Amino acid sequence: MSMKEIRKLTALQLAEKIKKKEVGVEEAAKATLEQIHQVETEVHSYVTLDEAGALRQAAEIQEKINSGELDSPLAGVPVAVKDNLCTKGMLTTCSSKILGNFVPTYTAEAVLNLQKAGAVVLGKTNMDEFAMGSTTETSAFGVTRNPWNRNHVPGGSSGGSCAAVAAQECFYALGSDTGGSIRQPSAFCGVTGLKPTYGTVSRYGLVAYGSSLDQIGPVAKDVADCAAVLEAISSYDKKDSTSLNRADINFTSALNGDVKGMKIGIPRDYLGEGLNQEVRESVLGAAKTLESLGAIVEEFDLSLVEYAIPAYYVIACAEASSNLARFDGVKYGYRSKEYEGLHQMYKKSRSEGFGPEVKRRVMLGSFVLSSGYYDAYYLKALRTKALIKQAFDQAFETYDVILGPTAPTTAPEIGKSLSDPLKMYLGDIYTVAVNLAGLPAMSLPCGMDKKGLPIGLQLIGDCFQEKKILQAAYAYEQNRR
Amino acid sequence: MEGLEISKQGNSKNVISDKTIEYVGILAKLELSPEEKERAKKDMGEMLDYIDQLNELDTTGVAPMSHVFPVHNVFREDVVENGDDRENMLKNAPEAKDGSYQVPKTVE
Repeated sequence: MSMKEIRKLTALQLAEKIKKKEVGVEEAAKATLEQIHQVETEVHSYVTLDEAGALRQAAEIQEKINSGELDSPLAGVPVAVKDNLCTKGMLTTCSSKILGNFVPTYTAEAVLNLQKAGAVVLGKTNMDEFAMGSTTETSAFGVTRNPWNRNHVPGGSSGGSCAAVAAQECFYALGSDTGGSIRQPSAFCGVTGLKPTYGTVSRYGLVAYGSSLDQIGPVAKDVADCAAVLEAISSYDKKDSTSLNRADINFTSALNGDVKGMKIGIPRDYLGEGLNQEVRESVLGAAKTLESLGAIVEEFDLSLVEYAIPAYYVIACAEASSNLARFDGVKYGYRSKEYEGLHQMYKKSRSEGFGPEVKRRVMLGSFVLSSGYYDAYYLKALRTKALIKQAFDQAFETYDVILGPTAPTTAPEIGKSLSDPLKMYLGDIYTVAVNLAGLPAMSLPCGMDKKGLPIGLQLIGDCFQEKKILQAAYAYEQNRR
Repeated sequence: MEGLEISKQGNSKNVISDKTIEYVGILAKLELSPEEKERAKKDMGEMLDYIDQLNELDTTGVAPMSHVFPVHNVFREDVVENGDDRENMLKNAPEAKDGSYQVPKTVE
Protein backbone atom coordinates (compact mmCIF):
# COMPACT_ATOMS: atom_id res chain seq x y z
CA MET A 1 0.00 0.00 0.00
CA SER A 2 1.17 3.51 -0.73
CA MET A 3 1.50 6.06 2.08
CA LYS A 4 -1.47 7.87 0.60
CA GLU A 5 -3.64 4.75 0.61
CA ILE A 6 -2.67 3.97 4.19
CA ARG A 7 -3.75 7.44 5.32
CA LYS A 8 -7.21 6.96 3.82
CA LEU A 9 -7.92 3.96 6.06
CA THR A 10 -10.04 4.26 9.17
CA ALA A 11 -8.43 3.32 12.49
CA LEU A 12 -10.13 -0.09 12.55
CA GLN A 13 -9.21 -0.81 8.91
CA LEU A 14 -5.59 0.11 9.59
CA ALA A 15 -5.44 -2.08 12.70
CA GLU A 16 -6.85 -4.96 10.66
CA LYS A 17 -4.17 -4.53 7.99
CA ILE A 18 -1.51 -4.31 10.69
CA LYS A 19 -2.80 -7.54 12.20
CA LYS A 20 -2.63 -9.24 8.80
CA LYS A 21 0.92 -7.89 8.31
CA GLU A 22 -0.16 -5.95 5.22
CA VAL A 23 0.95 -2.70 6.81
CA GLY A 24 3.69 -2.26 9.42
CA VAL A 25 3.14 -0.17 12.55
CA GLU A 26 6.20 1.93 11.74
CA GLU A 27 5.00 2.31 8.15
CA ALA A 28 1.66 3.66 9.41
CA ALA A 29 3.42 6.08 11.76
CA LYS A 30 5.67 7.25 8.93
CA ALA A 31 2.72 7.73 6.57
CA THR A 32 1.13 9.96 9.20
CA LEU A 33 4.32 11.88 9.91
CA GLU A 34 4.75 12.46 6.16
CA GLN A 35 1.31 14.05 6.04
CA ILE A 36 2.05 16.14 9.12
CA HIS A 37 5.18 17.48 7.39
CA GLN A 38 3.13 18.31 4.31
CA VAL A 39 0.21 20.15 5.89
CA GLU A 40 1.19 21.22 9.38
CA THR A 41 2.62 24.63 8.43
CA GLU A 42 -0.82 25.46 7.00
CA VAL A 43 -3.20 23.64 9.37
CA HIS A 44 -1.28 23.73 12.68
CA SER A 45 -3.18 20.97 14.48
CA TYR A 46 -0.33 20.13 16.81
CA VAL A 47 1.39 22.09 19.57
CA THR A 48 3.82 19.27 20.34
CA LEU A 49 4.95 16.56 17.96
CA ASP A 50 7.02 13.61 19.19
CA GLU A 51 8.43 12.05 16.03
CA ALA A 52 11.22 10.05 17.61
CA GLY A 53 8.89 8.85 20.36
CA ALA A 54 6.27 7.80 17.83
CA LEU A 55 8.74 5.68 15.87
CA ARG A 56 10.09 4.15 19.08
CA GLN A 57 6.56 3.26 20.25
CA ALA A 58 5.80 1.86 16.79
CA ALA A 59 8.74 -0.55 16.97
CA GLU A 60 7.76 -1.70 20.47
CA ILE A 61 4.13 -2.21 19.52
CA GLN A 62 5.03 -4.09 16.35
CA GLU A 63 7.05 -6.49 18.47
CA LYS A 64 4.16 -7.02 20.87
CA ILE A 65 1.78 -7.65 18.00
CA ASN A 66 4.22 -10.12 16.44
CA SER A 67 4.60 -11.98 19.71
CA GLY A 68 0.84 -12.12 20.18
CA GLU A 69 1.01 -10.06 23.38
CA LEU A 70 -1.13 -7.30 21.83
CA ASP A 71 -4.40 -8.18 20.18
CA SER A 72 -6.61 -5.11 20.58
CA PRO A 73 -8.72 -3.81 17.67
CA LEU A 74 -6.71 -0.55 17.64
CA ALA A 75 -3.19 -1.92 18.10
CA GLY A 76 -0.56 -0.01 16.14
CA VAL A 77 -2.76 2.91 15.11
CA PRO A 78 -1.33 6.46 15.51
CA VAL A 79 -3.35 8.82 17.72
CA ALA A 80 -3.23 12.53 18.59
CA VAL A 81 -4.08 13.72 22.11
CA LYS A 82 -5.58 17.04 23.12
CA ASP A 83 -3.07 19.09 25.04
CA ASN A 84 -5.10 19.19 28.26
CA LEU A 85 -4.48 15.48 28.85
CA CYS A 86 -1.34 14.80 30.86
CA THR A 87 1.32 12.73 29.12
CA LYS A 88 4.30 11.62 31.18
CA GLY A 89 7.50 13.19 29.92
CA MET A 90 5.71 15.10 27.13
CA LEU A 91 4.79 18.80 27.29
CA THR A 92 1.18 19.41 28.36
CA THR A 93 0.40 23.09 27.93
CA CYS A 94 -3.39 23.47 27.63
CA SER A 95 -2.32 25.90 24.89
CA SER A 96 -1.56 28.40 27.65
CA LYS A 97 1.54 30.44 28.39
CA ILE A 98 1.09 29.64 32.07
CA LEU A 99 1.73 25.93 31.39
CA GLY A 100 4.09 26.55 28.47
CA ASN A 101 6.90 24.46 30.00
CA PHE A 102 4.92 21.89 32.00
CA VAL A 103 6.06 18.27 31.68
CA PRO A 104 3.74 15.94 33.65
CA THR A 105 5.15 13.15 35.79
CA TYR A 106 2.17 10.89 35.02
CA THR A 107 -0.17 10.03 32.17
CA ALA A 108 -3.93 10.58 32.06
CA GLU A 109 -5.93 7.37 32.58
CA ALA A 110 -7.67 7.67 29.19
CA VAL A 111 -4.32 7.93 27.41
CA LEU A 112 -2.91 5.03 29.47
CA ASN A 113 -5.89 2.94 28.39
CA LEU A 114 -5.09 3.71 24.77
CA GLN A 115 -1.43 2.89 25.26
CA LYS A 116 -2.40 -0.45 26.76
CA ALA A 117 -4.47 -1.02 23.62
CA GLY A 118 -1.39 -0.41 21.49
CA ALA A 119 -1.85 3.20 20.39
CA VAL A 120 1.09 5.14 18.99
CA VAL A 121 0.92 8.63 20.53
CA LEU A 122 2.12 11.14 17.93
CA GLY A 123 1.81 14.32 19.94
CA LYS A 124 -0.48 16.89 21.48
CA THR A 125 -3.09 18.93 19.69
CA ASN A 126 -3.89 22.62 19.80
CA MET A 127 -6.96 23.86 21.67
CA ASP A 128 -8.56 26.96 23.05
CA GLU A 129 -6.60 28.00 26.14
CA PHE A 130 -7.74 25.70 28.99
CA ALA A 131 -10.58 24.56 26.66
CA MET A 132 -12.23 27.98 26.97
CA GLY A 133 -13.47 28.96 23.55
CA SER A 134 -15.29 27.71 20.47
CA THR A 135 -12.74 28.43 17.73
CA THR A 136 -9.24 27.35 18.95
CA GLU A 137 -8.29 31.02 18.45
CA THR A 138 -7.71 31.61 22.17
CA SER A 139 -4.68 29.27 22.05
CA ALA A 140 -1.48 31.02 23.15
CA PHE A 141 0.36 29.14 20.40
CA GLY A 142 -1.42 30.30 17.27
CA VAL A 143 -4.61 29.39 15.44
CA THR A 144 -5.46 26.05 13.86
CA ARG A 145 -6.97 26.29 10.38
CA ASN A 146 -9.95 24.32 9.14
CA PRO A 147 -8.61 21.70 6.69
CA TRP A 148 -11.67 22.22 4.43
CA ASN A 149 -11.08 25.93 4.06
CA ARG A 150 -8.05 27.43 5.67
CA ASN A 151 -9.61 30.86 6.13
CA HIS A 152 -12.07 29.33 8.57
CA VAL A 153 -11.68 28.12 12.15
CA PRO A 154 -11.80 24.40 13.00
CA GLY A 155 -14.14 25.10 15.90
CA GLY A 156 -13.19 24.48 19.49
CA SER A 157 -12.07 23.84 21.96
CA SER A 158 -10.80 20.49 20.60
CA GLY A 159 -10.04 22.18 17.25
CA GLY A 160 -6.56 20.70 16.91
CA SER A 161 -7.79 17.13 17.48
CA CYS A 162 -10.62 17.49 14.94
CA ALA A 163 -8.47 19.25 12.33
CA ALA A 164 -5.79 16.57 12.73
CA VAL A 165 -8.31 13.80 12.01
CA ALA A 166 -9.81 15.71 9.06
CA ALA A 167 -6.36 16.47 7.57
CA GLN A 168 -5.22 12.83 7.98
CA GLU A 169 -2.54 13.90 10.46
CA CYS A 170 -3.64 11.02 12.71
CA PHE A 171 -6.18 8.20 12.48
CA TYR A 172 -8.16 9.30 15.50
CA ALA A 173 -7.75 11.66 18.42
CA LEU A 174 -8.86 12.34 21.96
CA GLY A 175 -10.73 15.51 22.82
CA SER A 176 -12.57 16.83 25.85
CA ASP A 177 -16.08 18.24 25.95
CA THR A 178 -17.29 20.66 28.63
CA GLY A 179 -19.97 22.48 26.63
CA GLY A 180 -19.59 21.06 23.13
CA SER A 181 -15.82 21.04 22.70
CA ILE A 182 -15.74 17.65 20.97
CA ARG A 183 -19.01 17.87 19.05
CA GLN A 184 -18.82 21.40 17.63
CA PRO A 185 -15.29 21.14 16.14
CA SER A 186 -16.20 17.65 14.87
CA ALA A 187 -19.12 19.25 13.02
CA PHE A 188 -16.96 22.07 11.66
CA CYS A 189 -14.20 19.69 10.50
CA GLY A 190 -16.48 16.99 9.04
CA VAL A 191 -15.40 14.26 11.47
CA THR A 192 -17.22 12.10 14.00
CA GLY A 193 -16.93 12.91 17.71
CA LEU A 194 -18.60 11.56 20.82
CA LYS A 195 -19.06 12.96 24.30
CA PRO A 196 -19.80 10.03 26.63
CA THR A 197 -22.11 9.96 29.65
CA TYR A 198 -20.46 11.87 32.51
CA GLY A 199 -18.28 9.46 34.50
CA THR A 200 -17.70 6.94 31.71
CA VAL A 201 -14.13 7.98 30.96
CA SER A 202 -11.82 8.75 33.88
CA ARG A 203 -10.88 12.41 34.17
CA TYR A 204 -7.68 11.53 36.03
CA GLY A 205 -4.95 13.52 34.30
CA LEU A 206 -7.33 15.81 32.44
CA VAL A 207 -6.54 19.41 33.38
CA ALA A 208 -9.86 20.49 34.86
CA TYR A 209 -11.96 23.32 33.45
CA GLY A 210 -15.54 22.70 34.64
CA SER A 211 -15.18 19.47 36.60
CA SER A 212 -18.88 18.61 36.82
CA LEU A 213 -19.20 18.98 33.03
CA ASP A 214 -15.83 17.82 31.60
CA GLN A 215 -15.72 14.49 29.81
CA ILE A 216 -13.06 12.98 27.53
CA GLY A 217 -14.15 11.38 24.27
CA PRO A 218 -13.07 10.16 20.84
CA VAL A 219 -12.74 12.11 17.59
CA ALA A 220 -12.63 9.76 14.62
CA LYS A 221 -13.19 9.26 10.90
CA ASP A 222 -16.41 7.31 11.31
CA VAL A 223 -18.92 5.87 13.75
CA ALA A 224 -17.29 2.44 14.07
CA ASP A 225 -13.94 4.00 15.00
CA CYS A 226 -15.70 6.21 17.54
CA ALA A 227 -17.31 3.18 19.18
CA ALA A 228 -14.04 1.24 19.25
CA VAL A 229 -12.07 4.12 20.76
CA LEU A 230 -14.77 4.76 23.36
CA GLU A 231 -14.64 1.10 24.30
CA ALA A 232 -10.88 1.36 24.77
CA ILE A 233 -10.90 4.50 26.93
CA SER A 234 -13.92 3.74 29.14
CA SER A 235 -12.96 2.41 32.55
CA TYR A 236 -13.85 2.67 36.19
CA ASP A 237 -11.05 4.51 37.96
CA LYS A 238 -10.83 4.97 41.69
CA LYS A 239 -8.52 7.94 41.08
CA ASP A 240 -11.53 9.88 39.76
CA SER A 241 -14.23 10.03 42.42
CA THR A 242 -16.90 10.78 39.78
CA SER A 243 -15.95 7.72 37.73
CA LEU A 244 -18.78 5.23 37.22
CA ASN A 245 -18.52 1.47 37.19
CA ARG A 246 -20.56 0.71 34.09
CA ALA A 247 -21.78 -2.80 33.47
CA ASP A 248 -21.82 -2.68 29.68
CA ILE A 249 -19.19 -0.86 27.69
CA ASN A 250 -19.34 -3.12 24.67
CA PHE A 251 -20.20 -0.17 22.43
CA THR A 252 -19.19 -1.74 19.12
CA SER A 253 -21.97 -4.34 19.50
CA ALA A 254 -24.48 -1.55 18.76
CA LEU A 255 -23.31 -1.17 15.16
CA ASN A 256 -25.99 -3.29 13.50
CA GLY A 257 -27.55 -0.66 11.23
CA ASP A 258 -31.06 -1.37 12.49
CA VAL A 259 -33.25 1.57 13.49
CA LYS A 260 -36.65 0.02 12.79
CA GLY A 261 -39.12 1.30 15.36
CA MET A 262 -36.55 3.54 17.04
CA LYS A 263 -38.23 6.70 18.32
CA ILE A 264 -36.36 9.86 17.40
CA GLY A 265 -37.42 13.30 18.62
CA ILE A 266 -36.39 16.62 17.10
CA PRO A 267 -36.75 19.54 19.55
CA ARG A 268 -38.65 22.32 17.76
CA ASP A 269 -36.53 24.84 19.67
CA TYR A 270 -33.46 23.41 17.92
CA LEU A 271 -34.85 24.43 14.53
CA GLY A 272 -35.86 27.96 15.39
CA GLU A 273 -34.40 31.42 15.04
CA GLY A 274 -30.65 31.65 14.53
CA LEU A 275 -30.33 28.33 12.71
CA ASN A 276 -28.70 28.64 9.31
CA GLN A 277 -30.99 27.48 6.50
CA GLU A 278 -28.48 25.11 4.88
CA VAL A 279 -27.72 23.49 8.24
CA ARG A 280 -31.43 23.10 8.87
CA GLU A 281 -32.02 21.40 5.52
CA SER A 282 -29.10 18.99 5.94
CA VAL A 283 -30.15 18.00 9.44
CA LEU A 284 -33.77 17.45 8.43
CA GLY A 285 -32.52 15.49 5.42
CA ALA A 286 -30.65 13.19 7.80
CA ALA A 287 -33.83 12.77 9.85
CA LYS A 288 -35.65 11.76 6.64
CA THR A 289 -32.99 9.16 5.91
CA LEU A 290 -33.45 7.63 9.37
CA GLU A 291 -37.20 7.71 8.87
CA SER A 292 -36.85 5.89 5.56
CA LEU A 293 -34.91 3.20 7.43
CA GLY A 294 -37.84 2.60 9.72
CA ALA A 295 -37.27 5.03 12.58
CA ILE A 296 -40.25 6.98 13.91
CA VAL A 297 -39.29 10.64 13.72
CA GLU A 298 -41.30 13.51 15.18
CA GLU A 299 -40.86 17.04 16.45
CA PHE A 300 -41.49 17.92 20.10
CA ASP A 301 -41.03 20.75 22.59
CA LEU A 302 -37.98 20.18 24.78
CA SER A 303 -38.44 23.49 26.66
CA LEU A 304 -35.87 25.53 28.62
CA VAL A 305 -33.47 25.54 25.66
CA GLU A 306 -32.73 29.27 25.99
CA TYR A 307 -31.72 28.87 29.64
CA ALA A 308 -28.98 26.32 29.04
CA ILE A 309 -26.31 28.83 27.95
CA PRO A 310 -26.67 31.26 30.87
CA ALA A 311 -26.78 28.36 33.37
CA TYR A 312 -23.79 26.75 31.69
CA TYR A 313 -21.59 29.85 31.77
CA VAL A 314 -22.32 30.48 35.44
CA ILE A 315 -21.50 26.89 36.43
CA ALA A 316 -18.52 26.40 34.10
CA CYS A 317 -16.94 29.75 35.04
CA ALA A 318 -17.52 29.16 38.76
CA GLU A 319 -15.77 25.80 38.57
CA ALA A 320 -13.03 27.26 36.37
CA SER A 321 -12.29 30.03 38.85
CA SER A 322 -11.77 27.40 41.52
CA ASN A 323 -9.89 24.91 39.32
CA LEU A 324 -7.53 27.52 37.89
CA ALA A 325 -6.60 28.83 41.33
CA ARG A 326 -3.80 26.24 41.31
CA PHE A 327 -1.89 28.17 38.66
CA ASP A 328 0.05 30.48 40.93
CA GLY A 329 3.65 30.25 39.73
CA VAL A 330 4.78 28.01 42.62
CA LYS A 331 4.73 24.33 41.71
CA TYR A 332 4.76 24.44 37.92
CA GLY A 333 4.34 26.70 34.97
CA TYR A 334 5.07 30.34 34.44
CA ARG A 335 6.32 32.71 37.15
CA SER A 336 6.55 36.44 36.56
CA LYS A 337 10.07 37.81 36.38
CA GLU A 338 9.46 40.87 38.53
CA TYR A 339 7.39 41.01 41.69
CA GLU A 340 7.46 42.16 45.28
CA GLY A 341 6.32 39.58 47.79
CA LEU A 342 4.24 36.45 47.50
CA HIS A 343 0.87 37.96 46.65
CA GLN A 344 2.19 40.09 43.86
CA MET A 345 4.00 37.06 42.51
CA TYR A 346 0.70 35.18 42.32
CA LYS A 347 -1.11 38.09 40.72
CA LYS A 348 1.54 38.95 38.17
CA SER A 349 2.22 35.33 37.23
CA ARG A 350 -1.47 34.75 36.60
CA SER A 351 -2.04 38.07 34.83
CA GLU A 352 0.90 37.54 32.50
CA GLY A 353 0.28 33.80 32.08
CA PHE A 354 -3.46 33.71 31.29
CA GLY A 355 -5.00 35.02 28.07
CA PRO A 356 -8.05 37.34 27.87
CA GLU A 357 -10.75 34.64 27.57
CA VAL A 358 -9.43 32.72 30.58
CA LYS A 359 -9.29 35.92 32.65
CA ARG A 360 -12.82 36.82 31.58
CA ARG A 361 -14.19 33.45 32.73
CA VAL A 362 -12.17 33.30 35.95
CA MET A 363 -13.43 36.77 36.89
CA LEU A 364 -17.04 35.95 36.11
CA GLY A 365 -16.65 32.73 38.09
CA SER A 366 -15.16 34.55 41.09
CA PHE A 367 -18.00 37.03 40.96
CA VAL A 368 -20.87 34.50 40.84
CA LEU A 369 -19.33 32.59 43.75
CA SER A 370 -18.75 35.69 45.87
CA SER A 371 -20.68 36.30 49.04
CA GLY A 372 -23.88 38.17 48.21
CA TYR A 373 -24.13 36.79 44.67
CA TYR A 374 -23.68 33.06 45.30
CA ASP A 375 -27.42 32.43 45.76
CA ALA A 376 -28.59 34.75 43.01
CA TYR A 377 -26.25 33.40 40.35
CA TYR A 378 -24.54 30.13 41.27
CA LEU A 379 -27.38 28.38 43.09
CA LYS A 380 -29.88 29.75 40.59
CA ALA A 381 -27.85 28.13 37.80
CA LEU A 382 -27.72 24.81 39.68
CA ARG A 383 -31.50 24.90 40.14
CA THR A 384 -31.88 25.61 36.42
CA LYS A 385 -29.62 22.65 35.72
CA ALA A 386 -31.99 20.43 37.72
CA LEU A 387 -34.92 21.64 35.60
CA ILE A 388 -33.00 21.05 32.37
CA LYS A 389 -32.18 17.51 33.50
CA GLN A 390 -35.90 16.98 34.24
CA ALA A 391 -36.84 18.20 30.74
CA PHE A 392 -34.48 15.64 29.20
CA ASP A 393 -35.73 12.88 31.52
CA GLN A 394 -39.22 13.61 30.32
CA ALA A 395 -38.19 13.61 26.65
CA PHE A 396 -36.44 10.26 27.03
CA GLU A 397 -39.61 8.71 28.42
CA THR A 398 -40.88 9.03 24.84
CA TYR A 399 -37.78 9.03 22.64
CA ASP A 400 -34.76 6.77 22.26
CA VAL A 401 -32.67 9.47 20.65
CA ILE A 402 -32.90 13.25 20.29
CA LEU A 403 -31.76 14.57 16.91
CA GLY A 404 -30.75 18.10 15.93
CA PRO A 405 -27.97 20.27 14.58
CA THR A 406 -24.63 20.33 16.42
CA ALA A 407 -24.13 24.05 15.80
CA PRO A 408 -26.34 26.79 14.32
CA THR A 409 -23.88 27.56 11.51
CA THR A 410 -20.87 26.07 9.76
CA ALA A 411 -17.34 27.19 10.73
CA PRO A 412 -16.92 30.98 10.92
CA GLU A 413 -13.99 32.77 9.31
CA ILE A 414 -10.83 33.19 11.34
CA GLY A 415 -10.77 36.49 13.26
CA LYS A 416 -14.52 37.05 13.33
CA SER A 417 -15.52 35.54 16.69
CA LEU A 418 -13.46 36.80 19.62
CA SER A 419 -14.47 40.48 19.52
CA ASP A 420 -17.99 39.63 20.71
CA PRO A 421 -17.73 36.89 23.37
CA LEU A 422 -21.46 36.73 24.08
CA LYS A 423 -22.22 36.11 20.42
CA MET A 424 -19.62 33.35 20.38
CA TYR A 425 -21.19 31.74 23.46
CA LEU A 426 -24.58 31.66 21.70
CA GLY A 427 -23.07 29.24 19.17
CA ASP A 428 -23.11 26.62 21.96
CA ILE A 429 -26.90 26.62 22.13
CA TYR A 430 -27.43 23.02 20.99
CA THR A 431 -24.49 21.47 22.84
CA VAL A 432 -24.26 22.84 26.41
CA ALA A 433 -27.49 21.37 27.81
CA VAL A 434 -26.08 17.88 27.19
CA ASN A 435 -23.18 18.59 29.56
CA LEU A 436 -25.45 20.07 32.22
CA ALA A 437 -27.54 16.88 32.14
CA GLY A 438 -24.51 14.54 31.90
CA LEU A 439 -25.85 12.92 28.71
CA PRO A 440 -23.97 11.18 25.90
CA ALA A 441 -24.11 12.84 22.47
CA MET A 442 -22.27 12.68 19.20
CA SER A 443 -21.76 14.73 16.08
CA LEU A 444 -21.33 13.23 12.64
CA PRO A 445 -21.18 14.76 9.16
CA CYS A 446 -24.51 15.17 7.35
CA GLY A 447 -23.68 17.46 4.45
CA MET A 448 -21.79 20.48 3.18
CA ASP A 449 -22.84 24.09 2.76
CA LYS A 450 -22.37 26.12 -0.44
CA LYS A 451 -18.97 27.28 0.77
CA GLY A 452 -17.82 23.67 1.00
CA LEU A 453 -17.82 23.57 4.80
CA PRO A 454 -19.09 20.48 6.65
CA ILE A 455 -22.39 20.38 8.55
CA GLY A 456 -22.78 18.31 11.72
CA LEU A 457 -25.72 16.20 12.85
CA GLN A 458 -26.09 15.80 16.62
CA LEU A 459 -27.60 12.72 18.23
CA ILE A 460 -28.28 12.85 21.97
CA GLY A 461 -29.03 9.85 24.16
CA ASP A 462 -30.25 9.33 27.69
CA CYS A 463 -27.62 8.63 30.34
CA PHE A 464 -25.79 5.33 29.65
CA GLN A 465 -27.47 5.01 26.23
CA GLU A 466 -24.38 5.51 24.04
CA LYS A 467 -25.37 2.35 22.20
CA LYS A 468 -28.62 3.88 20.98
CA ILE A 469 -26.93 6.96 19.53
CA LEU A 470 -24.20 4.82 17.98
CA GLN A 471 -26.84 2.54 16.51
CA ALA A 472 -28.70 5.48 14.94
CA ALA A 473 -25.46 7.14 13.82
CA TYR A 474 -24.18 3.96 12.21
CA ALA A 475 -27.45 3.34 10.37
CA TYR A 476 -27.43 6.91 9.08
CA GLU A 477 -23.78 6.73 8.06
CA GLN A 478 -24.32 3.54 6.06
CA ASN A 479 -27.15 5.21 4.15
CA ARG A 480 -25.81 8.75 3.92
CA ARG A 481 -26.38 10.26 0.53
CA MET B 1 -20.11 41.99 50.88
CA GLU B 2 -18.67 45.45 50.94
CA GLY B 3 -16.92 46.47 47.77
CA LEU B 4 -18.99 44.20 45.62
CA GLU B 5 -21.80 46.15 44.17
CA ILE B 6 -23.53 46.31 40.87
CA SER B 7 -26.09 48.92 40.03
CA LYS B 8 -28.88 48.62 37.55
CA GLN B 9 -29.54 51.31 34.96
CA GLY B 10 -32.46 51.72 32.53
CA ASN B 11 -33.71 48.36 31.09
CA SER B 12 -32.18 46.83 34.26
CA LYS B 13 -28.70 46.77 32.70
CA ASN B 14 -25.90 45.70 35.02
CA VAL B 15 -23.30 48.38 35.58
CA ILE B 16 -20.07 47.16 37.09
CA SER B 17 -18.28 49.75 39.23
CA ASP B 18 -14.50 50.25 39.44
CA LYS B 19 -14.72 49.05 43.01
CA THR B 20 -16.38 45.81 41.98
CA ILE B 21 -13.85 45.04 39.27
CA GLU B 22 -11.10 45.84 41.76
CA TYR B 23 -12.63 43.38 44.22
CA VAL B 24 -13.13 40.66 41.61
CA GLY B 25 -9.44 41.14 40.74
CA ILE B 26 -8.57 40.40 44.37
CA LEU B 27 -10.77 37.29 44.44
CA ALA B 28 -9.43 36.01 41.10
CA LYS B 29 -5.84 37.03 41.94
CA LEU B 30 -5.47 39.02 38.75
CA GLU B 31 -3.82 42.37 38.21
CA LEU B 32 -5.53 44.16 35.34
CA SER B 33 -4.23 47.05 33.27
CA PRO B 34 -6.55 50.11 33.00
CA GLU B 35 -7.63 48.98 29.51
CA GLU B 36 -8.29 45.43 30.73
CA LYS B 37 -10.39 46.83 33.58
CA GLU B 38 -12.59 48.83 31.24
CA ARG B 39 -13.06 45.85 28.95
CA ALA B 40 -13.78 43.56 31.93
CA LYS B 41 -16.44 45.96 33.26
CA LYS B 42 -18.19 45.98 29.89
CA ASP B 43 -17.90 42.21 29.32
CA MET B 44 -19.03 41.25 32.79
CA GLY B 45 -21.96 43.65 32.65
CA GLU B 46 -23.10 42.17 29.35
CA MET B 47 -22.73 38.61 30.60
CA LEU B 48 -24.72 39.37 33.75
CA ASP B 49 -27.46 41.04 31.65
CA TYR B 50 -27.64 37.83 29.69
CA ILE B 51 -27.50 35.56 32.74
CA ASP B 52 -30.28 37.59 34.38
CA GLN B 53 -32.78 35.89 32.06
CA LEU B 54 -32.57 32.93 34.44
CA ASN B 55 -34.72 35.06 36.75
CA GLU B 56 -37.66 34.46 34.38
CA LEU B 57 -37.64 30.86 35.60
CA ASP B 58 -39.52 29.96 38.74
CA THR B 59 -37.16 27.68 40.64
CA THR B 60 -39.01 27.77 43.95
CA GLY B 61 -38.65 24.42 45.67
CA VAL B 62 -36.10 23.12 43.14
CA ALA B 63 -32.98 21.80 44.84
CA PRO B 64 -29.65 22.94 43.34
CA MET B 65 -28.15 20.03 41.40
CA SER B 66 -24.37 19.83 41.59
CA HIS B 67 -24.01 16.28 40.30
CA VAL B 68 -26.25 14.49 37.85
CA PHE B 69 -25.74 11.05 39.39
CA PRO B 70 -26.21 10.13 43.02
CA VAL B 71 -22.48 9.59 43.52
CA HIS B 72 -21.68 10.85 47.01
CA ASN B 73 -18.54 10.53 49.05
CA VAL B 74 -16.30 7.89 47.54
CA PHE B 75 -13.98 6.40 50.10
CA ARG B 76 -10.87 4.26 49.80
CA GLU B 77 -8.17 3.11 52.15
CA ASP B 78 -5.57 5.78 52.73
CA VAL B 79 -2.68 3.85 51.26
CA VAL B 80 0.15 5.47 49.31
CA GLU B 81 0.32 3.83 45.88
CA ASN B 82 2.39 6.28 43.86
CA GLY B 83 6.11 6.37 44.44
CA ASP B 84 8.26 9.29 45.47
CA ASP B 85 8.65 11.41 42.35
CA ARG B 86 9.99 14.51 44.04
CA GLU B 87 12.88 15.09 41.69
CA ASN B 88 10.77 15.04 38.54
CA MET B 89 8.02 17.11 40.12
CA LEU B 90 10.48 19.76 41.23
CA LYS B 91 11.79 20.01 37.68
CA ASN B 92 8.52 21.77 36.86
CA ALA B 93 8.94 24.33 39.63
CA PRO B 94 9.92 27.84 38.53
CA GLU B 95 12.30 27.88 41.51
CA ALA B 96 13.32 25.09 43.85
CA LYS B 97 15.86 24.75 46.62
CA ASP B 98 16.98 21.78 48.76
CA GLY B 99 14.21 19.52 47.50
CA SER B 100 11.47 22.10 48.11
CA TYR B 101 9.54 24.70 46.17
CA GLN B 102 10.97 28.15 46.61
CA VAL B 103 8.74 31.18 47.09
CA PRO B 104 9.34 34.78 48.15
CA LYS B 105 9.65 35.35 51.87
CA THR B 106 6.18 35.28 53.42
CA VAL B 107 6.84 35.66 57.16
CA GLU B 108 9.15 38.26 58.61
